[in-house]
Amino acid sequence: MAAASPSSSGARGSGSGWWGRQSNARKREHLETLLGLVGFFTLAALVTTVWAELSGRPALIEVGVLVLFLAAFYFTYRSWQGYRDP
Amino acid sequence: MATRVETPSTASSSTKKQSSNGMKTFRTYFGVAIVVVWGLLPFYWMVVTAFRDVDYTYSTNPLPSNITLENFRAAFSTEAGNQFARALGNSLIIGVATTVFAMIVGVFAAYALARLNFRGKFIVLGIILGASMFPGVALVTPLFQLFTNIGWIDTYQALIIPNISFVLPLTIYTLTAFFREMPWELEESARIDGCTKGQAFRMVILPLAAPGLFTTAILAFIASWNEFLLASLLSDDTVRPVTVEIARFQGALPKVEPYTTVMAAGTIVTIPLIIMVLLFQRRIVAGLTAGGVKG
Repeated sequence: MAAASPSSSGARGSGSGWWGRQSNARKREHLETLLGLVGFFTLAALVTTVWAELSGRPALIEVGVLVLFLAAFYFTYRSWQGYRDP
Repeated sequence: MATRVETPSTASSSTKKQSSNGMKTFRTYFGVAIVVVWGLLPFYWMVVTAFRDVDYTYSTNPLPSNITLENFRAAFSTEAGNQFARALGNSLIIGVATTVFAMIVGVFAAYALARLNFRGKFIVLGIILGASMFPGVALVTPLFQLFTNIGWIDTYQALIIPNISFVLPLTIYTLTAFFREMPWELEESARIDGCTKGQAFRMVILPLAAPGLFTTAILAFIASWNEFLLASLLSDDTVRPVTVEIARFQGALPKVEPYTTVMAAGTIVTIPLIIMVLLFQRRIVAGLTAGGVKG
């Protein structure tokens, strides 16, 4: 599974639309903010899941939400790394 | 002196331009009027009903009619078990305490996020954004349980601390944007003149940021003043704020909602906010830094 790395896809500093017009530094800042946002909700989902598991309640939905957030966190992290300073 | 001869074609184009400008102005004012009416109509209806005699509560007359001040007296009356005056005081205490704490923490956090370079700065901003997006209703049950366990139900701190956590992201975000727009050169000049970083912040940045600080403080106060959800569960008779008190207003007759009294109370509640905005409106006006830096 390969994340859409800007360096590999050649998207660094190119493209159209709002995202394309941003400088790499700004893109990195935006992705870092998104990383914090997704990370916050991932942590909240993790705590909820662990609490549900420890208290013996069915936690299938909680686990599903956690997996979605983890995937989102992973892809955001990979994209963020793609704009790392040289 | 050159004289301009107006040919029929130039006169017609000038008339057309004037007519187009007139139409544009009309459209602008019409749009503004719609927005103003849309926004103010509920408040107008509240004030009109507040001054209306209780026997005409359901009157659909849009103009003030059957005017009386009895509703305002009834709002402050404690005969039916209402504690409106005490609730006003409680709201003021909670609002001021929340605003002061949120501003103290928010100013430093926002300055650090806007002016200092450190690793993970934007991650912190993202976390703050996430915290502000967290639904308050999800916190009601855990907070109720926690505050019951530690005996904090119906205390000021039980309302102030959660309020701070709701208001702080708003404060930090607004102030960060404000600090970021301020010219760096001002701070650098202060440093060159011998100020330490702290002195530059205290003596140069903070006074210049006054309009932003006041705007943010007012927003924080309004957010805290209007809070209902947590207050409805975490407060009882002693510290109940005005939003909750109005919702449980009792009328003279059982099972009859005292709408006119509620409207009178609502009118009284909006007065502090209007006074605050009128007092600080000059401070709110942006542009204090204009001309602070040459070039």
